[in-house]
Amino acid sequence: MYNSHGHGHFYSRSSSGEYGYGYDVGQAGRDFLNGGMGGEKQVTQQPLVTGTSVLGLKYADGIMLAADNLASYGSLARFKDIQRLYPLYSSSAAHPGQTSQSTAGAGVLSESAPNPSNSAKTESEVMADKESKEKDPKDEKKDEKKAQSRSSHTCLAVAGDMSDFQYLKKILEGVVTKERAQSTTDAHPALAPEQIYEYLSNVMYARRSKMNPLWNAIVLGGVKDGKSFLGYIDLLGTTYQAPTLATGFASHFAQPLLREAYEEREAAGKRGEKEGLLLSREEAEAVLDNCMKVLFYRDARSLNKYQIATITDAGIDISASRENQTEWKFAEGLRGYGPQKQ
Amino acid sequence: MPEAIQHRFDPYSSNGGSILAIAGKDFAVVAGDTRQSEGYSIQSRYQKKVFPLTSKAILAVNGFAADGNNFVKRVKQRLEWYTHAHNKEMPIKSIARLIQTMLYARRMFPYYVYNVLAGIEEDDGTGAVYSFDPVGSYERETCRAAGAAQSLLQPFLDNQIYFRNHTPAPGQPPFDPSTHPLSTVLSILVDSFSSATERHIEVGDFLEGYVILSPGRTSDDLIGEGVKGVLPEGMTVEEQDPEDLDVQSAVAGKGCRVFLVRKELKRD
Repeated sequence: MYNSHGHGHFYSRSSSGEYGYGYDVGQAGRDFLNGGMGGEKQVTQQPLVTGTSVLGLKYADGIMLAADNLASYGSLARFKDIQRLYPLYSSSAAHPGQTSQSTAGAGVLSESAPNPSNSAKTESEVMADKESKEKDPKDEKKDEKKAQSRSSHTCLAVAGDMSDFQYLKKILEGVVTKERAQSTTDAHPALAPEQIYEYLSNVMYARRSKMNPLWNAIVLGGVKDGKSFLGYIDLLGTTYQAPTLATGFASHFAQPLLREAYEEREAAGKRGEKEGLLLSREEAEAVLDNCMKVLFYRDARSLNKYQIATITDAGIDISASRENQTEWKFAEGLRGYGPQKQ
Repeated sequence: MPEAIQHRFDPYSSNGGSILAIAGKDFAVVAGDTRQSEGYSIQSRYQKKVFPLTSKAILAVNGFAADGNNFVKRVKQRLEWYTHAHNKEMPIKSIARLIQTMLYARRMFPYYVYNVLAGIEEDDGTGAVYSFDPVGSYERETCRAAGAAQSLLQPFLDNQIYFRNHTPAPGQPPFDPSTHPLSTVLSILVDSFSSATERHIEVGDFLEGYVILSPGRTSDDLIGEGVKGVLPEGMTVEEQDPEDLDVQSAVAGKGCRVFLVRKELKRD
């Protein structure tokens, strides 16, 4: 653990790493960064106001992220209305580089599609309806592609230190503003989620290499031209991509649930029981709701008030805060850890 | 906060997995599993740690993944500069020395990475494997395993590739590790990783790597008719277009053929 408050479980690790050679690389690094080399001694801060774990899930229309609204101060639930989902970048042909909340359903697939979060139909269904009405679905597909060709959307879910999160927002906003300025004057290509991911990983790795990390674990979700991207970055600069992601506590509690749902849906698709291999919007949302409930039951630094970001080709939709029905009656008879009664 | 906590930030982590490379007379094979983990958690089941550098040199990195990725990025940048300056690809021998200096430059804050470089030597077309420790000590070898399952893989290679603890039959010539046919090497590769997957929790999911064939090579190809039996069961092959190899295709080395090989490993 990186601190002794006990709220640092958004990022936990084991200490062993056996690689032969019997050479402690880590010690050499520490000696250098604190030793005589003339450099000022760096004081590594510790996380103070922290957010707990975040989730990411790939589904049929794109990516969903989830994070609760709590920013803790140690074990104190200090701020209970903090948004930890950050819609960083949204660009479509009509409004290049425009970042906005609640944009899903607007634009590309518009005329017949109402806001999907209030609608029974998913975008893919709307698209299928449209295609079946048209005489030549191939032409229609081409048009869709053209309309999508400049759409790119990226959203973050951030765990860890909230002031470092705010600093990250500031520098990323700077990058996006510069890009947007360019795109107003020429045919500047949209920033892809992968590009923002690369930039962010470089920032995080550079800071860890200065022994002054940004104390966060970040899940980045994005959709560009219908292709989705989901990646993880943390304070060490460690990166990886996977169809389901979870940080910290959630990597133990929620990741197995996410993987189970994802893999079972994939298997069902391969058996031909269902169309496609990915979870639908409704299924994905139900899985995330369940994960957030499990986390609320077991993670003492969590809050039963959370949001879900839905990133599709149409844009980024950040849901209103919501809560899960919980049942605590079982706890009434519980005394201690063991079998004792009263 | 009540007590003043002095807990140091540890800039390193270890991300498991293993890599392996074997050199033949006129080919080289290098591969690694694609699992990335930290402690007991699997972070991703598909994360690359084998990267083509040129059309005849491929680098496998293992250890701390963030350092590995950034090290590969820097090596690729140096190779690009070299290509622009000299209008040719850097020979593998020189890449090996470059990697040494880049690693040793960080002697006081090392890349926590074990590198294995494999490819075809420029002058004589032989298969080459170079292995490094995190601070740049390196040598050319016939085979090398590194990473979490090094202690499981290397003894097997010592026995099967270097013929350790084998004795030639009376009157037979001494063993020569550089004479293994490609089919044997691929079988050894697959068996090594299947076994490491069984016995090491950090190894699994997929095996992914490359086979590089020397320009002069004619026999024992990987694809096409009449080569059944070269490829271990369950392994897939894709020949790589030099342009897809993320190299300076305009000056790609002539004649080396590169194949991407994949095989599923157990996921548990």
